[in-house]
Parts: sequence; C-alpha cells; structure tokens
Amino acid sequence: MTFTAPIVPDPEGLSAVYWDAAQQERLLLQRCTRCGQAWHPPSEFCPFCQASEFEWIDATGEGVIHSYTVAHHAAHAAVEVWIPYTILLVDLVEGPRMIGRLLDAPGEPAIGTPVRLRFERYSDLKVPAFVVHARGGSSCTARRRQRRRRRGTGAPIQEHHTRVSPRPCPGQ
Amino acid sequence: MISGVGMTELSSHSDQSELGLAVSAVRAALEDAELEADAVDGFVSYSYDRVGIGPLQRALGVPELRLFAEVPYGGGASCGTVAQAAAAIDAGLASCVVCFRAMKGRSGTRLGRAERHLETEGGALICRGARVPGGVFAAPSGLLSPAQTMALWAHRYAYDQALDRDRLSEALGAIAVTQRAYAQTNPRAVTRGRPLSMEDYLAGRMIASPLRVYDLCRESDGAAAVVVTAPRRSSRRAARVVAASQHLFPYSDPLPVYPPDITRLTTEREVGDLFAQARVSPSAIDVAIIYDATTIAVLLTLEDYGFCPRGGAPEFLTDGQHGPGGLLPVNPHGGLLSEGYVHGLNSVIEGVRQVRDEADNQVPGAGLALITVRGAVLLLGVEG
Repeated sequence: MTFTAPIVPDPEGLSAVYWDAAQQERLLLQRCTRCGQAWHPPSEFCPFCQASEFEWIDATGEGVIHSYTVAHHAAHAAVEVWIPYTILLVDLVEGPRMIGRLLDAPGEPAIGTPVRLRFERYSDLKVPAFVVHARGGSSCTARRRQRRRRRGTGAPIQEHHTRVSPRPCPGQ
Repeated sequence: MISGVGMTELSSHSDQSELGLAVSAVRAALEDAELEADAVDGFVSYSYDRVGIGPLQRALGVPELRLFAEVPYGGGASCGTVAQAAAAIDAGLASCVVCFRAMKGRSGTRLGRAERHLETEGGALICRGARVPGGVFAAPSGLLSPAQTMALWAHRYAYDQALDRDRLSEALGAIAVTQRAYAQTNPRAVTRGRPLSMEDYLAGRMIASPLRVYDLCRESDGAAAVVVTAPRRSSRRAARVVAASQHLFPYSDPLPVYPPDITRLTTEREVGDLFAQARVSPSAIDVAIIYDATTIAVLLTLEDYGFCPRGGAPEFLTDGQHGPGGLLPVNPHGGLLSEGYVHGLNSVIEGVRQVRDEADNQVPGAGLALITVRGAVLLLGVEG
C-alpha cells in the first residue's frame, strides 16, 4: 500500500538521525556506553545514568504491546482516512518503549501480545509501525535486516538531515 | 492564602478577546478579595496562555510588578501557578499575586485537537519537537490528542487490574454521570440542563477506546483568576493554603507514556510529602477536586492519593462514594467534564468555594479540600 504521509516529521538533532535511519527501514535506539541501557526517544544524555557517551544500535523490532487505543475520531482532518486506527505503546525487547500504529489487526488488540516492527510505507516517507508477531514467520523488514547484517553494518547514518522530504497531503 | 477568585461566563463562543476575558476574570477576583488593581505586585500564568503579562498589567493598571512567572506543562499550571504564588509570597518576593488563565478553548485553539501541534509548509503537514501527543515520535503514528494518550493509561490500568471492558466502562461512566448530575445545580456549568444517564454514557460515541465522548472535558471559552496574598490581607473569609507543591518525574512532562508505570500520575513520595507537610491523612480530606481532562485521570488519582487501595477505585466509583453523601465527594462543581474547561483553574476556584462554604453543591462542613492535577497539588483549609 502506498499513501502520502498525512503528517511529516521535521526532526532536529538526534531525532533527525532516528528519522533518517527510518527511511532506510532501520529502527535506531541509543545505548549508553557506560551503563549499557538503551533508550528512546533520542536524547543527548542517558536517562538512566546521565552519561553523554552512547552508540546507536539497530533495534530487533520485536516487542510486546504495553497499551493501546483505537482512535474512532480524527483529531485532525489529515488522519480521517485512517479511522478507525490502532495506536500502540510497545515495549521493545531492548527495553525502550515507543509509539506506533498496529497495521494488520483490526479491532482491539490484547495487551502483552508480541508484535514486530514493520515500516509503514508512504510514497515518500517510512514510519515505524507494528504487526502482530506471527511465530515462525519472517517479515520483509526482518529479511532485509538479515541481508544487511550479512553485508555489514548497513548504510551509514546521516548526521545533518533537516527534513524528511515533505509532500502535499490529501487531508489539507 | 487565597483571598479572592473570579471567573467569566463559560461558553462555546465568547465575543471577548482572550485579553478581555483575562481582564474580566482578574477584576472579578480582585473585587472578591476587596482589593484594587494597584495592590497587585505579581502575576503567575500558564506557559500555554496567549495573554501576555505585560499587556494584562497595562490593561488593569497595575503600577509595578515584582514577580512574573509562567508555569509549563499544560493543566499542571492550575495548581502550579497557585503553588508558585504562595511560595513567592512566603519568600517575600511579592505580597499580592494573581494567577490567571484566559482561553478561547472552544472557538479558538482547541486543546483536544491536533491543529495546534502541526504546521502546513509547502503543502505538507509538519510536526516538530518531541512532545506527546503531537511531536515527531507521536504524530506520524496518529497519536494526536490528550484523549488518545489518556486512553493508553486506561487500557493499561484495566490490564493491570484484570478489569474487563464492562467494569472499566461502569467505573468511568460513574464519574461522568455523577459529575454531570452535580453540574445541573451549578449555574456556571456549560452542561446545565443536559443531564446524563448511564445509558446515555454507554451509548456515547467512542472517541479513543475505551474513552467515549462523555469521558472528555468540555472545551470552553472563558477565563479564571485567583488572588493569592499574605495572611490577613483581606477582610473577607479566605482559603488557607495548607500545603502546595509542584511535581515532575522523568517523562511525566506533560503526559506520561514513557515511564515504566503509566497508571500513576504522581509518586508515593510526592503524596507522602504532601500529607506529611499538612500533618493529615487522606481520610481527613472532605472534598477532592481532581483534574479531569478525561475520566480516567480521576480514577487513577483516587488511587494515587490513597483514597482507595490500588485497584479499588472502580468499586469506590460504582458504589457512588464520589457522589453526594459519599465517602469523598469529587468535583462537586461538575469538573472540567461538566462545568467547563478553563484549564483547571476553574476547578481550583471550586476548591476555594468549598472551604469558604459558598459552593453551589456545598459539601457540608468541608474544612479541607484537596485540589490535584498531574504536576501539582494544593491542600486548602478554612482561614483562621
């Protein structure tokens, strides 16, 4: 499915690193090189030990549903085409929690359900989202990541991207 | 102490500007305090407020300000502004501080919608910053409103407490229905004349599951103001600030989704410190005014402050203990759900009215009122 993204992030600094990587279908987390804990959303300082030394790691994309809501009302005209849609809080296996849509399961999901990362692809933007984890299955994203791991560490991360290519949106 | 309170009419469309609304509310509060504008030497406002302190000073004719401050993180500023004002007065920085909030919250910028977070640039809709909801880690996934964010709290609470959907709806509905009933005898309430039954509640439109339209506060146009002074400044009966504090824990700014436990809006330490400072226990509280942007915040707060054991709020609510004659009347003005929404400062005013024994739905013998919001808390008592 190809949509034009309704809402385009214009991130700064470390958030831009995260979003640039997302365009390569990589979910990046920061990991503290002092205490070893990983975190999200991006921050210059480790929220656990306050160190400023960190490395970016590729998340596995595996997690469980911490909570969810099904939006039945569009809080902005831009997302009317999605209604109803499910918003998740996902606890990633690396520890951090993140927000993402549930793509493949209409209705109310169960908290605690394993989910797996799948990028939502618009014509010009990729947004991290989730699908219900099918045991033994292998998503396109996971296969791509495996190929990348075999090749090496993946594409280098751009440091100074300012905007994730905005395009007109139909909701305007 | 709080020596005066004032509010404008609450409506869905005010003809006044936000500055005009602010001036009306502050004048009413000063009149209530039997003070003139030249007595004011401080203003504390919400960071979200669009009325500048300088323009308000000129509009009211306040000759000199010694204290001016803004409190961030949304509704936390309701109790937060008063806590700052009380602390400034205790410290001798000022002697008469006005806290205010003026907003065209229904006809202007609506806090329940996402337009305020987004900008149109080159035909695209852009989000910036990291705030939840509406920032770059939330908006592209459609997390756009406070109601959606609080719905995440509600589902997690139900999961943690093994509460099925019907029980959760009964508990949240009990808040909405009781507060709407209170509002029927509050002349300021925007929902007066429109009572709500549990059947109506359950038939309400789902906005962000499990929250229905009646679980959400009523966006309004209006303004509220509170005058905080040193003791014995006013000849009228005033409300004594027994305890006041602000409170922030990591990732609680402004709406928690990242803390380990998203079903607690404060911490045990904060609550313990508050009751220790006031030298009372939760059972001493006669009336609770709880910031109710949505019903779930009321349920969680009842447990946070020890009015119910963990997991006990649904039973407390379905038993009607928050209603008239219950163990702890909650939001007897109807709350933000049913009186209207001046970003919680109208609820602070209800707390003042209760301890002054002049509320529309007066809790008999209300000597101690707890007023709380995620981010700040006040305990008000009877002066003297």
